[in-house]
Amino acid sequence: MEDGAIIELYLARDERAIGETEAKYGPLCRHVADNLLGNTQDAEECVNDACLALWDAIPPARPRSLMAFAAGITRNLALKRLRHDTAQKRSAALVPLSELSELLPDESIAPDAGNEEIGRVISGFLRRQSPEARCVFVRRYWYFDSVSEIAVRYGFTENKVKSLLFRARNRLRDYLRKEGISV
Amino acid sequence: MNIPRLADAVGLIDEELVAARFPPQKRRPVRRVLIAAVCAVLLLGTLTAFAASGAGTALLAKFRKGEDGAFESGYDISAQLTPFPEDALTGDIREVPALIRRQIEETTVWSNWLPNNYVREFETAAQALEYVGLEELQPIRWAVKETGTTLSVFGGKRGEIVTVSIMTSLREGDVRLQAQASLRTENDSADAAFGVRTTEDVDYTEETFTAAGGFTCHVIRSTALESGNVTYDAYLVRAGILYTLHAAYPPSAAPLADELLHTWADQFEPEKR
Repeated sequence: MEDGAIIELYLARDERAIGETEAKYGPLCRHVADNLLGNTQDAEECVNDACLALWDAIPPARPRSLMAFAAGITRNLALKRLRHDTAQKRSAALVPLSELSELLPDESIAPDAGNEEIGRVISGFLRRQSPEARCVFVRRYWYFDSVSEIAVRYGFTENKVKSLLFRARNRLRDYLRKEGISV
Repeated sequence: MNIPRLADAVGLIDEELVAARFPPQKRRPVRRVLIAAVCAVLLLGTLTAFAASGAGTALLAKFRKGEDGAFESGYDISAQLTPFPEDALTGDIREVPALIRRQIEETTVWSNWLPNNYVREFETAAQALEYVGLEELQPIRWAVKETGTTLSVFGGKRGEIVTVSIMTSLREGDVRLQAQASLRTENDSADAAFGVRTTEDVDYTEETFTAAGGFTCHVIRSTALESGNVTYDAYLVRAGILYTLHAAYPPSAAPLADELLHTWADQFEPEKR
């Protein structure tokens, strides 16, 4: 079913919307949650929670991309769970999270910069990047894919992926400084 | 676990960036169809598939947009390629390691280009083959108009040549073609795999036939793209080198496209023993 039709089901409060979303984007959401949580059962619970959250969010939300919206809610819920589960040791996202932490430690973020604003600045930064660098960055730090997964997805060598990420992080660090996000 | 705020902020980037597709390749004249040569380690047992198909290539996986959350259609192919000694490349390509080393020296984190990739355009495929100078590379001679040839060399950290590909664009009537030869050297530690991607919702079918020289030609055809064109990609391995023919054409040109496919495949001569 097309995204527009599924969103119409949500707007009409038709519960088939949840099943259609699960059928279409469930595997992707599970992939994101599993990348972050490293546990199939936790990932499944996270996706179920995301389905309920979608039901609550639409309406009033009317996402332009149901895929990004559904996966985004899953990502947020998985991060939230990860943040509160200190016992979580097997997350595939440990490395990309530490890369983000090194790029801009929390204590270096300007006090008045909110996450929404930082996200807007990062969107602006990504639009200035090559399509290759942009896609690789998003796969790594939004979906938390491994380097090898990204290499296979885009037909790059792992070295090329690592190189693209290394440079993108360096450029983003400088860009965030110029935009007054980091101090 | 300490989750940096930046992870939350990245989660708030625009939806269109999250839903972005594979970046289009500049040299691919067929709109929105993306083919990327990959050198990646794929720890998959493909020997059975090779044996079953009798070809030098094996279909690893195919996927379709909208199925299992996929947002692009495509497939991955593995190929049995011979790693050639770098010394076997006897043409002017021997200048490339020094050029790549210079790229590596001159690159900075601000560069908008990547080192380790040497690309050169030639007017004809014959010129590119001469530049490479590998005896096993077979020239393709047919009366189809060439529109240009691109040589791509991927190098290692010390400039050593890892992979080489020569891609020639051609056109015959309504059929647009790209003929490519891909080889790897002893410096390539990875098995060869090739991915085909399109942002459109298409399905693929697989077939094989035996060409005049006795080689198995592995063909993967797609259903129609939004443009109305259909495509095929033909794969043939000779002397450890992968030859690929990609064609895009309207369904009405299918007889011509198939004739070109067989003309191409039948040119490969049996290997000299």
